[in-house]
Amino acid sequence: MKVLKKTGVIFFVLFFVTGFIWAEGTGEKKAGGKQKQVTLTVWEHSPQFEAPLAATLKNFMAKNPDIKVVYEIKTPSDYMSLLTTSIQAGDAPDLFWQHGTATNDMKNLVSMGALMDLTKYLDISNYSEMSRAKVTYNGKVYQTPAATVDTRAVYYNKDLFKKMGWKVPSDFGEFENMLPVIKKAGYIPISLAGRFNWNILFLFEPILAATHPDWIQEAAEGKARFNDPRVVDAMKKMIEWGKSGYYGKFYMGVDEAGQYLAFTKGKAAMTVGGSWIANTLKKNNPEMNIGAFQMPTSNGRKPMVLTYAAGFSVYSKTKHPKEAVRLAQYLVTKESQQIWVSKLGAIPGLKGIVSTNKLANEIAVHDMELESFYNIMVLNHKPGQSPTKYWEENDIKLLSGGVNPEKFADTLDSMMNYPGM
Amino acid sequence: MQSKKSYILFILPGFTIYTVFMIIPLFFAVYYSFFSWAGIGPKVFIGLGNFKKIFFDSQIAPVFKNAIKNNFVYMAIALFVFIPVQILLAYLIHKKIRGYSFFKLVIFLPFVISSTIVGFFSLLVFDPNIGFLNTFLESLHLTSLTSSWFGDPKKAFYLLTGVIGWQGIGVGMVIILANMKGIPEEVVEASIIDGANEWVRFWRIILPFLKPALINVIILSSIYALTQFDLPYIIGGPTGGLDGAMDFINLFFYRYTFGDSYYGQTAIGFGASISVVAFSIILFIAILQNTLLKKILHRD
Repeated sequence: MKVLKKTGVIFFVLFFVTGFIWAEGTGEKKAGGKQKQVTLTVWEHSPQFEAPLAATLKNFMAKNPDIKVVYEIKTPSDYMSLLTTSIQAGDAPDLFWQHGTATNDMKNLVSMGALMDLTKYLDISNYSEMSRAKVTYNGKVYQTPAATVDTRAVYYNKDLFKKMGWKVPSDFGEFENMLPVIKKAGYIPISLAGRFNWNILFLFEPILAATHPDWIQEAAEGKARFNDPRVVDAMKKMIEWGKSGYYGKFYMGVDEAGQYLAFTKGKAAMTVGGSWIANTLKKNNPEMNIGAFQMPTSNGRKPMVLTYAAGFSVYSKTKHPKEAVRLAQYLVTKESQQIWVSKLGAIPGLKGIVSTNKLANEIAVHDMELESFYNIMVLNHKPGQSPTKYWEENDIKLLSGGVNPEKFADTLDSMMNYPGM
Repeated sequence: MQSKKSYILFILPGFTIYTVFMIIPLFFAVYYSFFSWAGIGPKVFIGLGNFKKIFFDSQIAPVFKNAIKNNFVYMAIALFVFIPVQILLAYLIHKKIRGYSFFKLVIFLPFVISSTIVGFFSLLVFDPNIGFLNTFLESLHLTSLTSSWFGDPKKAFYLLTGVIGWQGIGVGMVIILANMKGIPEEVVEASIIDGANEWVRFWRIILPFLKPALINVIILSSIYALTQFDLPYIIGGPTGGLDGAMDFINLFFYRYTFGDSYYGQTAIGFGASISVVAFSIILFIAILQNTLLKKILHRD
């Protein structure tokens, strides 16, 4: 009995001591975990991306309790100035959005040693070539790619089309023939902000893609000149439609908001713009039944001008490199990209990612992917020359007939390199 | 000695802040203007290359000259149209015409409305498709008078000037009105007794008394004219509309320095050279005006 009592006492003592040590150990781990929780800061350049960023970071933090992520949303116009200032001060965020190879910024950020080389950390082999190219410089990956694409689309008033018996055109001829019919019916065929340079670019690119997709394919490889007759032809087409009144009588006086309002108020049957305006159009008139399609080619193909979005770079001097890399690795996963696409209502650019947004899915119907005209200018311009700036300064004049399309194209050509020729 | 020390202590905080945030950046701007630099990456010394580009580059020089021309034309309108109107309005309110309190409020009110809202108002009025003006003219069967408004380079600048004037005219009016209220009543009464009519009273008594306010309004209007940005950007867009009709030097500086809202490529070195040129112009005009106006003020 005594032996049993002794054994019992020893057992209880051992039990409590073990339990105590175990409990202490766990407590230490927890306490240690809390003490060791690392805070990362992420910068995003535009308020429109706040919702997807917040959602995906929330998911990341739930899976990685040792990492807390705070984000700051900036405004596009002063984002790069803020970022460069913070880098120069040695106080940049751990991860930050940047343009990728769409501009010279990545080159400059790499040359000043601000970006961590993520090549060995990120597996981005499942992303498209265009998407990978956007985050790769000199063969090294400096940024997470994004599974969303920006494109341009023709938005149309579905109810009006139904009421008037108009059909979504299946080729370029049908599209062009539809314009005078819409005009005759008393509607503006395509509302356009003629005095805003970007809106003109986002109309020109689909026209060029629909009329001469072969030129874009060649030019993307540096094998076609900018003063090619095909480019001039697309410019002339855009100008001709204006002169024919297909953008309305006074389109040169319309600004960006006016373009969208003319469409959502039912004055215009169609408008052409970036995929990012879909939400604006819906918000302008939630009751409106909006559809979208890609401007078709003469043989009925549906070319889509694509610019892949870019993700986040890791600051080379981050105090928490391991955790920052973990976050970057998470951001390239399909799980994160799916959250991003769903929250943004964007067009997915990665297989296996689906959008729940009906309009985004309509925009995404295509059978040909093409590089953007603007991006080709960015990628292949001569050093010290800025064809993009020339375009931005003068496309309003081009549309109004104030500058000859041949001369305009010659000037662009003089600023370009042709690596494929 | 003690009072001198106190004096220094009083001005030190302001002087330090002014030096750190105004004088030092100015020297930095001059320094950066000699470099080709995006704001990040290597700085390449190019001497006067940026200035050469502003004044002689076949693409950039015409844009710069057009922008600065618009600033000067706007300044002339501000000085020779807006200020006389401000004096007139201030005088009418000073004379307490019927409903003067209401008019004072209505004229000053646009100034407290943000430029973004004013820009939106201009869309509602001048948009060719959905704007009030064309719709109104069409309803009166005056379709020949309808226009693209801001899309017409001949009208756009003057319309924009009108919108800016509508927003800001109340400020000068209030400054002049405050000065008018300080004119001694007995002087005005004495002129009435002497038989001076309204016209003579205005030219010989009221206007000379307004010199201090007018000098302030002239200098403020000139600086305002040379630093226009918000409404031209909102209404004219980043490139200042068709043919640069609504382009101004600050808009030119903004888009070349910080790129644009879509792609945001920066050119800090070139931007610094634009700011140095703009600063030199404003400084020259301010000194010139100050010298001339001081002479006028002390002439009597």
